[in-house]
Amino acid sequence: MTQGKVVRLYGYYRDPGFLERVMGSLRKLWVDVEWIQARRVDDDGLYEVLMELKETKNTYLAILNLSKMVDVDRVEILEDAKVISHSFDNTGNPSQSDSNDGRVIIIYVPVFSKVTGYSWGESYSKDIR
Amino acid sequence: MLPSGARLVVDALKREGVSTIFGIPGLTNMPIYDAFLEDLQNGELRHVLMRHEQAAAHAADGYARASGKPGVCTATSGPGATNLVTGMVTAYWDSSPVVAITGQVVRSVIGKMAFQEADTPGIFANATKYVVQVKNIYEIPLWIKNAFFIATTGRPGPVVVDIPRDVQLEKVDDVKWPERPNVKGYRPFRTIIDTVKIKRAAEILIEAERPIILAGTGAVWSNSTPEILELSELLGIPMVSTLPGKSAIPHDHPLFLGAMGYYGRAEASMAALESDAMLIVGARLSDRTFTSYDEMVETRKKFIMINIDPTDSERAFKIDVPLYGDAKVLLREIISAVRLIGRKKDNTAWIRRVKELRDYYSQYYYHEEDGKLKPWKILKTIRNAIPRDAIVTTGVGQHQMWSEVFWEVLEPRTFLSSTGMGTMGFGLPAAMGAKMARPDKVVVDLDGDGSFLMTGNNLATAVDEHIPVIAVIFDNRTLGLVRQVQDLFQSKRVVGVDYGPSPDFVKLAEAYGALGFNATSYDEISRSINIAIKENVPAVIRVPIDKEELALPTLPPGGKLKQVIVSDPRKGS
Repeated sequence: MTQGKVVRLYGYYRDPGFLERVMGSLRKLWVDVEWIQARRVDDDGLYEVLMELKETKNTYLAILNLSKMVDVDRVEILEDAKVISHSFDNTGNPSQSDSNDGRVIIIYVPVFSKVTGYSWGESYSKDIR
Repeated sequence: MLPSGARLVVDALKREGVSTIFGIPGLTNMPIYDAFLEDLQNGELRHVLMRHEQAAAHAADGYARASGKPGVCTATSGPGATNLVTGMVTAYWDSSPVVAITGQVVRSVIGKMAFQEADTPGIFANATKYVVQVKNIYEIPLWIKNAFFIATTGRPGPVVVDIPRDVQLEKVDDVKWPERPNVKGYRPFRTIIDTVKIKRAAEILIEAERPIILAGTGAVWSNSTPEILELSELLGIPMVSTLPGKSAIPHDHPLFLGAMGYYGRAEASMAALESDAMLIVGARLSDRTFTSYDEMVETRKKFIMINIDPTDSERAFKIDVPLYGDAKVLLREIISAVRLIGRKKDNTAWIRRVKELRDYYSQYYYHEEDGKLKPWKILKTIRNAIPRDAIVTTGVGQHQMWSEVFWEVLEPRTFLSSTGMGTMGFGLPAAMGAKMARPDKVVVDLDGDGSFLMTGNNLATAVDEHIPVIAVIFDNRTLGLVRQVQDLFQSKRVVGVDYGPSPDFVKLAEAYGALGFNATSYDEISRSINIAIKENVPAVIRVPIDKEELALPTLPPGGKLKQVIVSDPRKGS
């Protein structure tokens, strides 16, 4: 278990303003971000954004707001997620180091069994065990 | 001749049914002006040259609210675009569909602090429902279509389309007009007819001892006034509204109590508190209507909420029956369910109680004072002087609060006010937009001296372009609402609010070429309005108000509805 909520967001990138607006939705409700990873998923501009949000009384509302932001297809809460960190060195090989001296890159991987998704006013639940 | 990007902009707007554009030209939106010259000459388009871009956005907003169709404005890059911000965020907070076309510097210099460059996408990202910067000429037809789609579907809202000047000047030989919008990552909210929930809502309303209906902005946009009235009459349910929801309910309906909330009618707020079931139609539970969520929860009433935006039911407190979608459709379903189940109770006692509340609080409202014009009576005088279907707008301040309490809306979509953002200066340009949308209607801006002066320069536009609106200025020579809070709740430390004698509103109006009246009696107000309507030209009617006049009812800052103040606390009990 992590302290925050691990969230996966899928949305369509038009320009970097996409990420700016995702962050803006969180900023407006004073929801802090522990870590964030994002990547392009396909040639259609679909992006996947993974992040851990600090749990506050506004976090759920922020997730709902994200789920109705233009360009966002859906937002999923990775329920009961446990975050495992993996460390790699500059050659791409696994490393034992977790220092922040710039020699290693640390990737966060959520481990979860259930997803609760929100998309433009509709919600769904998926057990993925 | 190959069409330019600017030509495509104009044609795309016309394809969306646009006939009026409010704006100001500058270097980077100039190609659009050049492109629509012939459209203006042949009468296919009308351009209204505003005197400030904020007013262009308010005018487009007023046009949208009065007509139910999106309003369009345009501005150049840099200061032109940044001047739009207040108008666009005002439309955003009040869910009004406005589409703004902004010029942008040429692509090669974007981001390099070019002359009159502003980061329009960055600036509007959190001030509108959506902003898009068009990257090339081929994107224009689709993104203009998409802008109207986004602005008018789901919760309506403003959209900015930012187009670099060189994109406007590009030429294309093969125009592809999209048949339908295509916005990846956007879906209008669906109307979900859940028969179990509909039946439950009907049962709650039928079984309630003290049911009430609260109408908000969504009731206006969904045109659900007939359904609200039908349900109210079917079960004998009293109605209240939010401030913008005033525009949904005819105030001469015997079951309507007025707007509830911070500066609302005390009887409406009290009835809302005393009710044991509340049907909320198209209201987002703002802190202006429900000043304390705890206070509402403590009443233990059942809440049924109809909202186009499903997330609105999650923001404040637990809603027993949330219904998502178009209010008109869902109300029809509830009415059918009610008819099927049948009425079981007689609400006579509750209606009698509501009438008691109305009678009780009336004693505080309608006072005369020698030598002073009272706001309630001024508004009654204006109401009697203009047609039932006349449209009124307001600025923001005490006059707006007086209008909230005393203005009698008699037809839907005839009360337009900046209620979410509380933007001073909204009244005059919004009135001009409303008049452009509904030229057959008398349009009156109920304004304050402080509010009017924020966009009053647009009176020049009203005169030049023959947009005959009437501005009634409640002139108390102070920023009255702020003054009132300082006076009542900040130990009478009145600071930074009082104006001197400038300007003379009559001379100001005349300088612009409008009619100017100094109305110092109710008769003069009535007469001035009659003359202004008859002359059919823009007019300013200045009405003197005592600086000490309060906007009541009110609450102490942060107060609950129960703490309502209905009489002047400076005069003792």
